[in-house]
Amino acid sequence: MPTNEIDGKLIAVEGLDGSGKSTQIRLLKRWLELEGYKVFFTEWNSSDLVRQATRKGKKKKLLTPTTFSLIHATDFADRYERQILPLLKGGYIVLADRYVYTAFARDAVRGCDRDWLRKLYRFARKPDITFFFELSLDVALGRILEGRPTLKFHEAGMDMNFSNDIYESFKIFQGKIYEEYGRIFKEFPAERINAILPSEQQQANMRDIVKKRINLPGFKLRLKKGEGL
Amino acid sequence: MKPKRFYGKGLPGVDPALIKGTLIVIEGSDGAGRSTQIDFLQNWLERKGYPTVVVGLKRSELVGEALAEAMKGNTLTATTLKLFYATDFADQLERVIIPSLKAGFVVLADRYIYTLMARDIVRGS
Repeated sequence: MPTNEIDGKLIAVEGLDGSGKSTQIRLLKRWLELEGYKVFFTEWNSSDLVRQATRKGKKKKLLTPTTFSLIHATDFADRYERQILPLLKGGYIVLADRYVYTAFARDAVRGCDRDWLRKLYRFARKPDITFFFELSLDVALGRILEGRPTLKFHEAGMDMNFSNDIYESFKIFQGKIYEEYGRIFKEFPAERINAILPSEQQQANMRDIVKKRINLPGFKLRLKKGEGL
Repeated sequence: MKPKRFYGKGLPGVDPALIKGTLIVIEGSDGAGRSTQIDFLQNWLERKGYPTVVVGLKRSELVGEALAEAMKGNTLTATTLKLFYATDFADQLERVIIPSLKAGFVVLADRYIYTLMARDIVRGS
């Protein structure tokens, strides 16, 4: 993965739904902003392109593991080339709620070749820090399912025909993603965060790691005279 | 007959031994007369009784329209465009080309991955 000519830093969080990673990265963002650093936040959400295609794909059952993977890679590339990369080049700290490891996990569970997936995302820079939120599958499922939320078709892995019951399908799908994450973070480096700890403790651990690994004073917003925050 | 081969690892769940039809690829730059020749070929093959199907770039059900639309806006960056075309190709490969070949069709491809490779190399891949 390319690394030259980039002054910024990339911090990613990964983990199961219900691991609390989104809460933690938002807290990290608030902290960095209030400290006066150049920060940009991006999430692994779906643009119009993906939403349209997945809606169409679901209705007509068009999507296969390969096209599902490719369309998300297309979407990510768009976000990467138009937001993430320019801001990294501009010296920002970019915070990513989910990164390519999400695709590695989810698409491998759907049957895509692991080596093919790593090649597919070769254009994307490796994070400077990846936080992996660890907790047991049962706790993660409990946190998500206790409110009986409305699960989306693909989010629950309904395309995999694990079960006709959407909650049952979600559990099986998440279990497989859990296993795949374990494999991925043997292959790639990650800072492990114990997602069972109190929220403020997790946040304190993350801030310590960021302070240790990133020279933060280099990322201060330079304000012109007379300009406030 | 030798089994058909893939360039890479192939597709998850596709057994190359089951691919029986014939894939004919027509490449060439714009204005080279590809479409005309493909029309002739298709008419000739069908007259002889060979079931024939034509595929080509930006014709996938999944993203063909979206891709054509995005091209008008001229807002896509190189990697995005490449992957968009790959999605369009994969949809046709999995849902038209491979099933047609399994059913013994002749598949005529108006441009194929060579065009995508050539373009991407020009764009710096």
